[in-house]
Amino acid sequence: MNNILLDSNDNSPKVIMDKDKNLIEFEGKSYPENTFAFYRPLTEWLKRYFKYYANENKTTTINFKFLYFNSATTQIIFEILDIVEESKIKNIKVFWFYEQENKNGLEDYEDYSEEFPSLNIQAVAY
Amino acid sequence: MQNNVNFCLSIDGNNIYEFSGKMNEKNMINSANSIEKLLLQKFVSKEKIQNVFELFVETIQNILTYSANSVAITRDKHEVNCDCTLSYFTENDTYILESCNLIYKYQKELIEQKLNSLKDLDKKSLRKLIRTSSRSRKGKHQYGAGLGYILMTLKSTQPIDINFSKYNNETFKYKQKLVI
Repeated sequence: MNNILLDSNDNSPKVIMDKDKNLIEFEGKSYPENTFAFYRPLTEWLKRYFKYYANENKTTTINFKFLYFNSATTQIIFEILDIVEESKIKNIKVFWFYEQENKNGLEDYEDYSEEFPSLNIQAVAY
Repeated sequence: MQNNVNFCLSIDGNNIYEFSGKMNEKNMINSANSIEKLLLQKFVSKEKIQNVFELFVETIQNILTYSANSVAITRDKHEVNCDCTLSYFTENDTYILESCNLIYKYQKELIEQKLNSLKDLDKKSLRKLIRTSSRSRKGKHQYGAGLGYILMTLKSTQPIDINFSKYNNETFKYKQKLVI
């Protein structure tokens, strides 16, 4: 399985999916016209990663650094967190980055952390 | 048909942004970025900018996906004639996003049902609904989850104002007004 490294585009985020560094990261704006088509290969990668590569001996880090995102991306974020939760692997750190002066970001964090308490998602204000 | 796009920073009923013509992904991105830039120059709060940006995108993506006269220009990309304006009112620091596009008759009923089901929900309930709707559709990568209208209701400061006028036997002109 190859790593996935995508540069940010006008309406899609920078994506890092690196199985060697155990790093998964999304950064920037996310509103592709067909959001599901954009994310489908990424969620497939995640399923394979958590099935064959992730384990308790190495920490997997997942960083969400979204700036703006559409409702379809919201659905995808839930799907990603579902994949992570269903892996049952405990050695995972999930970080939700948000702009300190924007309370929307904190509210989004609260929604995800309440919905996935077992993931112990950490908020990081910047 | 030639597109008519205007950006200017004016207030109290004058439009900040006007679009009339063929909307597509490229025009949506250019418009969203220009709106963001204008609001950043005016030192608008980050929260307000995010709400305006995301509701503009949500509105345009609904129009591209669901308009009766939407044309697929590639497998995943659409183009459609529509009108859209954004205006600013100093009173209450309010932005008004208005759009007009054609929809089919059955969509009129779906929109009315959807908004009717949301109108009495408070912010907490709307956020909960986004969570449950998202998770109940896990793996179903298709449009129509209705998340867009929940998000619009959540981020609007007033109920979504909609109006339908019959265009022909199959379609209606759908006007939508969001107060942000």
